[in-house]
Amino acid sequence: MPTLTIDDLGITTQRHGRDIALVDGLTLTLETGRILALVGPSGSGKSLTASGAQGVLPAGVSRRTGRVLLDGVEQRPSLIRGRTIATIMQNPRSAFNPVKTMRAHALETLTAVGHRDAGSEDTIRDTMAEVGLDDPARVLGLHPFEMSGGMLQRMMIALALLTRAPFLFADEPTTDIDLVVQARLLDLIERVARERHLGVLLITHDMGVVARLADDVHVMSAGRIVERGSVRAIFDAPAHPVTQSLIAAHLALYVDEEAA
Amino acid sequence: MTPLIEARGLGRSYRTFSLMGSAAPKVVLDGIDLTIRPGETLGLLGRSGCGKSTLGRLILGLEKPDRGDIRFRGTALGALDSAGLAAFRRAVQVVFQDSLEAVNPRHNVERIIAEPLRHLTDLNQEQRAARVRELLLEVGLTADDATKLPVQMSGGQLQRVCIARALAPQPELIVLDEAVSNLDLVLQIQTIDLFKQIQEARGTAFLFVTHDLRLVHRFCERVVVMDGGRIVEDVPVTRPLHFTHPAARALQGAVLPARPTRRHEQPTV
Repeated sequence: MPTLTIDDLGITTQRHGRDIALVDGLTLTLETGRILALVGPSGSGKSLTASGAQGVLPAGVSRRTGRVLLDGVEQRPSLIRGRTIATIMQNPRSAFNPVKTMRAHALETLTAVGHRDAGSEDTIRDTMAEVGLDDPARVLGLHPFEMSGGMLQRMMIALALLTRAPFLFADEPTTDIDLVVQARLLDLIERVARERHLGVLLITHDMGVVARLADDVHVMSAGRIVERGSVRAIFDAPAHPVTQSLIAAHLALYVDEEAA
Repeated sequence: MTPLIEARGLGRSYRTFSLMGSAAPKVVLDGIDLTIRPGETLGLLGRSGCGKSTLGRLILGLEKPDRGDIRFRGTALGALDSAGLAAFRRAVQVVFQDSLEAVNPRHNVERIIAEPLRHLTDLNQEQRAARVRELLLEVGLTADDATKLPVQMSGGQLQRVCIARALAPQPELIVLDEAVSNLDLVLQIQTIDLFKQIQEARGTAFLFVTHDLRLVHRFCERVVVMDGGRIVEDVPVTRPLHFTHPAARALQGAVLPARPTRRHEQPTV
């Protein structure tokens, strides 16, 4: 089974001339066909882990240690980005170029990963149909401002699938999206991950999303993974205090149902 | 008891403009009747684009309705004299979703919280500084935070600064427009518990605009559901909620599971 391993990832920033560790000796492994949720409080280093593994960090933040291994073989970050790992992000509106159509985005994606050929238009339309974008011919001509947040997130998933990357990083893919749309997008992510046998790294702070989608869970706090387990084990017997507070806060929202 | 806020027959349309010229006005609110009583916690629930934030802005007086009117203690907003308008502005405050966007990045925390005190009260500078210290403690921050700049605080801390600013003029109603949506879940619950404390201590009414039904359960006594610019449900919060309208039931059906679903009990292939 193909695996993607992030090994001993260390990310730091400078404050008052001193190094501050943001991600510290983090190791995790994704398997194709499974969804791994990376959870933790705001600022615990979840998103930096995803961007650091792909060599795209914000200014002032640098990777000090770490390797990315595909089936045990070290890879250059610039070569896995888009080819081995596709990414979908929170806030799809800011992830698209506002002056380009969906067709231009899709063709650019195919060109970047070297999959563009005479059949590209058909591939794009089939993939859009797969993610539930009806009438692909019309949608391909639209600009981001002509589309809803839910449609844009579907398009971002279609672009991720076009890369044919075996691994998908989904960074808060439904945070702040309308609850009804969120439920449909989570159904979609689950379906395409199963059908295409993707290995998914799901970054979220919402344990409801974890309960809905994840097979396995890693809990982060202050740049380190503090607990690992199956989704059942994490919900039924959280061991670390950070995990316990995440689960307790989540279940507190369901007091009615838990009591019922 | 006189309602704090009473909306009757509210209508609001927006006109959109594009390169193709102006389109037909889009009706975002239609025939809204809503009453907010002193001290009550009212959830305003609905999907994106249902008009809930627009209704919030009308209640704040930031926009005017095209049809109908809003009464503050029985007087239409348009008929308030300058003293009445000042009383309304003190009485109704707001906390927005994006705290970093809602503050001036060059002002320190003390100046941010003192702003409504400068405009809406006759406290002098020393009294204002003392009041800011009280407010910081009330929202769980420290007096030392007064000199910090927004970028030196986390999202959760800065949202508390915005809450302190809303509390400063001792309002009777606080509109929370997705005010906890940007926070992680632990912080969302802590913030809602803070609102509950404020309500117990001060009897403040809250209009809690959200799309997350789970939070309505935790915080609200009554919930209004909007769909397509209209109010389609107005019911007390019970366990479970008794919704009849399809749009409200769709929101109910979209609530995420509390625990892993049965799928996980089956061995993975």
